Amino acid sequence: MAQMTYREAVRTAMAEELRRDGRVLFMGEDIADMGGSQGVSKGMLAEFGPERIRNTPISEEAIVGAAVGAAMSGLRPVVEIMYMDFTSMAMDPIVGQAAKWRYMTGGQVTIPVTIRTQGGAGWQSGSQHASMLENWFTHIPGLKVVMPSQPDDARLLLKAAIRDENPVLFVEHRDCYPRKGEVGEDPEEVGELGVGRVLREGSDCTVVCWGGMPWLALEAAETLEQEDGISLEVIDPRTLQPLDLGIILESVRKTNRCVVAHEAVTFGGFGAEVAALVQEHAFDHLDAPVLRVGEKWAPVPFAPVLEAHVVPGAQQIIDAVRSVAYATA
Amino acid sequence: MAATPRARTTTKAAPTGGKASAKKATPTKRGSGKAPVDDHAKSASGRKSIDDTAGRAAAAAYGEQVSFARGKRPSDKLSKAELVQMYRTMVLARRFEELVIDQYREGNLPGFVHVAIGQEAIASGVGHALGDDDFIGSTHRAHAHIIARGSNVEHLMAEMMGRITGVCQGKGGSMHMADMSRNVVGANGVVGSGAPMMTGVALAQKELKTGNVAVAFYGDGASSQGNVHEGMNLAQIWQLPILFILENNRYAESTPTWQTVPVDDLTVRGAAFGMKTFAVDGNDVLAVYDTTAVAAEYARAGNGPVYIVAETKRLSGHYVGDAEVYRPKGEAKAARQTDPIPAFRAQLLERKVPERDLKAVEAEVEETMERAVEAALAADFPPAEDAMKHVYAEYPYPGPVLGL
Ligand SMILES: Cc1ncc(C[n+]2csc(CCOP(=O)(O)OP(=O)(O)O)c2C)c(N)n1
Ligand SMILES: [Mg+2]
Repeated sequence: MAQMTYREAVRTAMAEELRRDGRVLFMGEDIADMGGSQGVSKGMLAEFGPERIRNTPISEEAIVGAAVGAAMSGLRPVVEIMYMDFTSMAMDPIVGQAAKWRYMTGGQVTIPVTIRTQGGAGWQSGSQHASMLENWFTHIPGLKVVMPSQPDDARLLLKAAIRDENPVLFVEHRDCYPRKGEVGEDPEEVGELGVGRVLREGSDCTVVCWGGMPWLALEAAETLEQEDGISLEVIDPRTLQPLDLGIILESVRKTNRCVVAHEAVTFGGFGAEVAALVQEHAFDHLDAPVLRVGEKWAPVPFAPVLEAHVVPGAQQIIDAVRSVAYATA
Repeated sequence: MAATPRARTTTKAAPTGGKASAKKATPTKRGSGKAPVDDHAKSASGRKSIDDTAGRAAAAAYGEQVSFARGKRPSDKLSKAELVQMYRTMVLARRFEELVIDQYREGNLPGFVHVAIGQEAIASGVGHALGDDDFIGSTHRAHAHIIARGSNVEHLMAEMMGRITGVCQGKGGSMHMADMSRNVVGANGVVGSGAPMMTGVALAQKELKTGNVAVAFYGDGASSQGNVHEGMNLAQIWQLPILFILENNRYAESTPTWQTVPVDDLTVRGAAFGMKTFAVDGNDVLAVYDTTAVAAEYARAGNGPVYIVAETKRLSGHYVGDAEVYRPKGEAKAARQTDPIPAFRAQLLERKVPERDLKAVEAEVEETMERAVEAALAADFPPAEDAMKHVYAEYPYPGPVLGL
């Protein structure tokens, strides 16, 4: 085991897979000399060279489209979209092409492409560089969506994504990059998509959260324990599609209360899906309605006060948990 | 019946670049009158650029592209006072951005900040050549463009700091700054997306017969985005009054343009749309003024869009704080030799503009900017609930759910 940051864990996963499989290549904007806008791929050009670490023009649609075509015909590309907002520039290749081609061709092709992207609010980067849009993609049959919060999960699940035979969207929250953790070193070790993780055991309320949120939920758990004596169980599904509902239901049957927290806008977000599934399958176990925590109904604004007003933090999780904890059946 | 390729000739003839107009710009041979191309990035990396001779040949054969020829220069008609104003715009933009950098370092100015230090001649030349009611759309590197349209620098600086007195009331910041009081549609955080949008602004000008033109600024990096190509194509088939102004600073973030653009000469891309095309030394403010003036007159007269490639240099990092590890040693320093501000200053002195006039402008700018920073720092932040304002035309907005 080695101590490393989430950023290094993502890099390690890509490097291990590039070493392991000559069909893997990595492309994106400013990913070569600069190592990506977030420094994730720093040093990879030196090891793998410009054929496999492909610096691209600013052409999201072409980059993803080409990756999809290459994936159909023998390569296993990993693509980086600099900000999650810019997946909108590549919507057709992701949604119209990658997600559907296998289906439409009656299973004649596989599309083993991994689309990595990152984002998140809290940096005053303004409305066009701060959105969390995972629900756009969880709504598309044919795509898998992975969004881990922990460094070790980032490594193992990115490796799994690259080895997966399907198009996988791999979402990194910007706040996670400097987070440190113990990460394994066996290059053959690989994670499994669709398996959630209990990040903290607790008995009074379940918080289901992903992306950057689990770190805030863990903070909230400390506060709730000290100030309210509430024991929070924090569950990170790690993969949103496929979703490990089992681990969530098991927890809710124990705690009888559930809050779903994500940074994306609440209305129409993936939290709604989780809440619906929980009440469908564990209605009799619930002592309170499932509450959602998410961004308010606005684009992410620039000014720090405004941004803090719309984007959820640990306090919003605390408030929601208190609300369901004191509710009676 | 299936359409045959020949169907095209039976409709209105597809417009080709230039319509050999009796305009002031005269066709010249390709490659003349162009800014020198710098190759240092290539040699430093040891990798060769793609051979673009075929592209050049095709563009040369296209023939109707024009480079601006110095004949009767529109700028010859500028008074000394007007020339000094152009200088002031450049100095103001420079000083604004220098102070932005200072304030960023002091922690007073959050977010992502891209400065256009070194590119002020384009902003000023274009800004002054346009009419008061013409529209501009900019990029993530927008401050100079906006300042050159006469926006109030106090409100711009306040916006940079997220204050309520900001031109967007703190909603936009550097990357999304807009000022509709000056027909500045706005900066844009999404590379290339301004091009189709400004095409639409031009469509509105045409339909509403305003006589205004639209300008879409964009970068060499953006020139590879599909949205730019789609916008240019649409503008040409609809013959819209728009200028596509490509600021070729030869970098997109860390990426030198030669790595991502297969032609060295970006003017050849105008040929693909049969679009009137000019090349200009973007560090020569008067050349930019002349080119824009001719282009705007052409577009305003209903002749269709014009594409302008302005060569320039980025004298700072991509963003404030960029260590520029990717930039060959000495390149940035060498680029400073072509700084357009001292160059224009010298030119003005040569034209017998009294130095005291320039000094007076410099002192006034210094004061103006000092005041702008002070005012911005003293201004309030918006109330937090303002975050919910402006999401819709209605406020308060009753949604997203009703009936509760
Ligand atoms: C669609 C999209 N992709 C990527 C980015 C990230 N990005 C911001 S600026 C930039 C480089 C733009 O280069 P260029 O068009 O040459 O403009 P310059 O920065 O040189 O002014 C990139 C890649 C973005 N903002 N939008
Ligand atoms: Mg550029």
